[in-house]
Amino acid sequence: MKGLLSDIQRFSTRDGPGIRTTVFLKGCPLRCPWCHNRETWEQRPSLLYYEKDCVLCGACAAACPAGAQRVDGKRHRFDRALCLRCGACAESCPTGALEMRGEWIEASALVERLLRDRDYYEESGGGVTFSGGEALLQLGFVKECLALLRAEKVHTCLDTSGWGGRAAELCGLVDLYLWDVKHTDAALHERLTGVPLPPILQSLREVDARGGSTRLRCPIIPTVNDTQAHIEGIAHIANNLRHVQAVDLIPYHDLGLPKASALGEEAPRFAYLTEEKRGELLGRLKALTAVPCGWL
Amino acid sequence: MDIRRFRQMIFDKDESKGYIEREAAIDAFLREGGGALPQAERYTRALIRILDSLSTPIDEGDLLVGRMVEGALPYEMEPVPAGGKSHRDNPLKVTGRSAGHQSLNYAPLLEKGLLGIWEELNKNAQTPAQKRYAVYIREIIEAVGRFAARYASAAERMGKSRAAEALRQVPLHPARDFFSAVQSVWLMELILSCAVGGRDFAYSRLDLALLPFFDPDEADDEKEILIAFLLKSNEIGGLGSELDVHMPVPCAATNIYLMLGGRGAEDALPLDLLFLEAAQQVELPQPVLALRQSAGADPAWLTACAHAAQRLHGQVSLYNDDALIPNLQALGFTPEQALSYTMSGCNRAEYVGHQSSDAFHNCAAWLLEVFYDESVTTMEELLAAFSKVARRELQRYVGNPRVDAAAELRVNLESLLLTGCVEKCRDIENGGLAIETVVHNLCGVATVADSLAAIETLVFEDKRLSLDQYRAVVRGNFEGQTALLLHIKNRLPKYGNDDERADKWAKIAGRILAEACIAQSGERIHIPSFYSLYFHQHQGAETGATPDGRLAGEPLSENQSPVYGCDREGPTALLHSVSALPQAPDRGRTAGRAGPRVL
Repeated sequence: MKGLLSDIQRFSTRDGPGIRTTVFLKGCPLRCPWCHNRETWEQRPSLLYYEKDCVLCGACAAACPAGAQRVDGKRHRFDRALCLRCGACAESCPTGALEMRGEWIEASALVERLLRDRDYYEESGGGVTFSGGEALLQLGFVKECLALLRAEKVHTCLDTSGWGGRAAELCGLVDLYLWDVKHTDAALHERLTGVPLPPILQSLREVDARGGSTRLRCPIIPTVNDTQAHIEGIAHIANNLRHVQAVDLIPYHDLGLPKASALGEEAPRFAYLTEEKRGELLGRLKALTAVPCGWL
Repeated sequence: MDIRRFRQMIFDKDESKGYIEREAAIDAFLREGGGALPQAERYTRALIRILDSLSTPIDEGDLLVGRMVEGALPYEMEPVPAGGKSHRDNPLKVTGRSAGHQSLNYAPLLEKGLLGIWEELNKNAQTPAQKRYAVYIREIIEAVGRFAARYASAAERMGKSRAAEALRQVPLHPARDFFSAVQSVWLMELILSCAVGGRDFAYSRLDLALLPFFDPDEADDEKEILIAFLLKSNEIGGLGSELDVHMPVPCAATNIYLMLGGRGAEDALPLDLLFLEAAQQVELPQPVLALRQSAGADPAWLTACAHAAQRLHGQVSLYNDDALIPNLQALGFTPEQALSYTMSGCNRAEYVGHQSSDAFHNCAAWLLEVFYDESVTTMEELLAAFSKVARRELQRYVGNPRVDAAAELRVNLESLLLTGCVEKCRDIENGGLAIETVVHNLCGVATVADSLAAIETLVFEDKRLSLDQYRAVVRGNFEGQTALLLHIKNRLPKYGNDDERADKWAKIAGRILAEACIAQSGERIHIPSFYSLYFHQHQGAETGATPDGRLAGEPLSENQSPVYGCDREGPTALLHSVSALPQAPDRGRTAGRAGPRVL
């Protein structure tokens, strides 16, 4: 079975234990405003254009069969409406200013690539993490990859928003769920991400009931969810799970903004959390739960 | 021991000053016409003069004694040429081959003392030349003895009876205990580095030499002694690097390799661990800690090495016994020599009591020669021609210059600490070593690999331009070819990313170069290596543009590392690529450098 990849990141050290390879899959039904992987939202290839790397050579214009790429004097123009997403422009671009994201790949071929770093997984207690996008959007593909990796005795993580209600189907194949908790207020969750919270929590309970280990991963975004109420909500979720290993608070960063710009999109910029605020939120969380927790 | 104070003294040192007593002695010697004497006579007389003129400074906090008086030199300092040579003519230096860069065997010194070694040397003196050699060496040893005796008296006056007692015994006589053993080694190191004058006199397996004197029950005292010893190793040579402004002394920017751990050294584990503990308290650049690893190593050792590597920024390098021992044997080392392998300055694979010659080759220039050969029309022909050029260039090193120089008697004090010289009663420069080796440092291998990948892709796969057109573009330093240059730099496969399209060329080029080296073995053992020190800078400055998009004058790739900026897939991918190079005949150390994007 084929899946649609956005990227493969080797030597990943923040997406689960040890040295890992993280597979970013295309497609996500959520629209979190703070997302740093917007290029994974569409479940089809995406074309990014980094203006700072463009040398106005015109190779893209010559290669584009649809006239979407043009160089007029000292300006590059990209008409996204005309773009066929064929990748011819990116292929011809000498600097990488144009970059296609979206590679169709067979599960077996992907696993073969992932096993290149097997020695590092074994030595460091690491493995492979499926992320996105929302990896569960390509459930069949992910399931096949996980089975192949299990046969190779490679530790696996699934980084998921929990969307779709089918996460529990992977119990027995996934060693550790990295479960993103975007907001614990149902109304705010739906308003911010575009999807309802209750099915996600139901799915999390199902995973827990089947013995699936989880780490809760909670992006903390100033003015969005850096509140006592949200922290209490996180603690409440953690305290009602039997197989939760830890809670990771993830501070907001703005590394996704250049990618948003490269996609021709506007993305809001949030403030950084202060050290004081971090300490306050973590202190509150620790006071509310015995589950190990900290900032990632 | 006040480590902090000694560290501060090292940091505060005025590195514009030199060893004025030594320089004054040499000036006087040269003024009297000593420079015109034959080497053996010149070396002996000059060294004796220096040793007899050195004063015996001792700091009130010194545990071990032996330091040099430093002061402003009475003449303008000349620029120090690349390679760390002395700032002025050194009458003790003849060909450069004896000026340090050796893996000294300190075991005989501690077991027999200099006089004991000399007795053996003298017994082996049969010919008139050998007998003259023994006489010169004896005179030098007596000067060393006088220097040690004066230091003993100075130590006594300072109330340092332990050092005084030791120096009445060593280095002329065998060491009696751990303290006198370390004191003996330090005085010899000081004499060789600062009085004879040379860099990188490696301690090699000093741990094994000290082992008979080591008592685990006295570990606290012994650690203190090792701390003093490690501090002393940083008092000479200054803290400037070879690429930096450094002290106007002959041992400037010395890199003293100390090899610890490994197969055959299991009994030394407690002492080796103590060395690492002491080094982590001293936290200074010397000595270079070369730590041997193997699959069966004690976990305590592996853990200690990991901690040391983490804490001692850049001071630690790791060597793989499981690769190196069989590889060195395959190259011609005996099993005993291979098992006792060690390293000296410039990362040369040696064994205890040995010195290898070395050479740094510009492999990118070799590739360019065949790239511009218009009779070459295919990749196969290109590789065959590359191999031919490599063999032609390396053939220049066949033969043994040291043996060729045997007509004139040579004297070098360090020969007493090198295997073969005492047995043969011949100086290192007269072919005294048990075997002769030469390490060929093959610089720019990644530049070659990326160039081959570019030629294959552009000319033979994409057919974007003909080989002749490509030659013209490269010869023109990519002038007016910005788009093509960017395409080559950004879009073609590059070694360092676990990309078989480029890594296969590193493998092929590496194998061609390694085999070309090994093919020269006969009178000497030829050892291939991809170490480049800083030669990739100098050689790059003299090399025209290369097909990988490197412009004329830019540095070549460094060591086994990818071309600067070309490793973009992270450290694991980088290490996969490096492992594509032929490690078999090479040393186990990977002198890889991760690019900033990885870090």
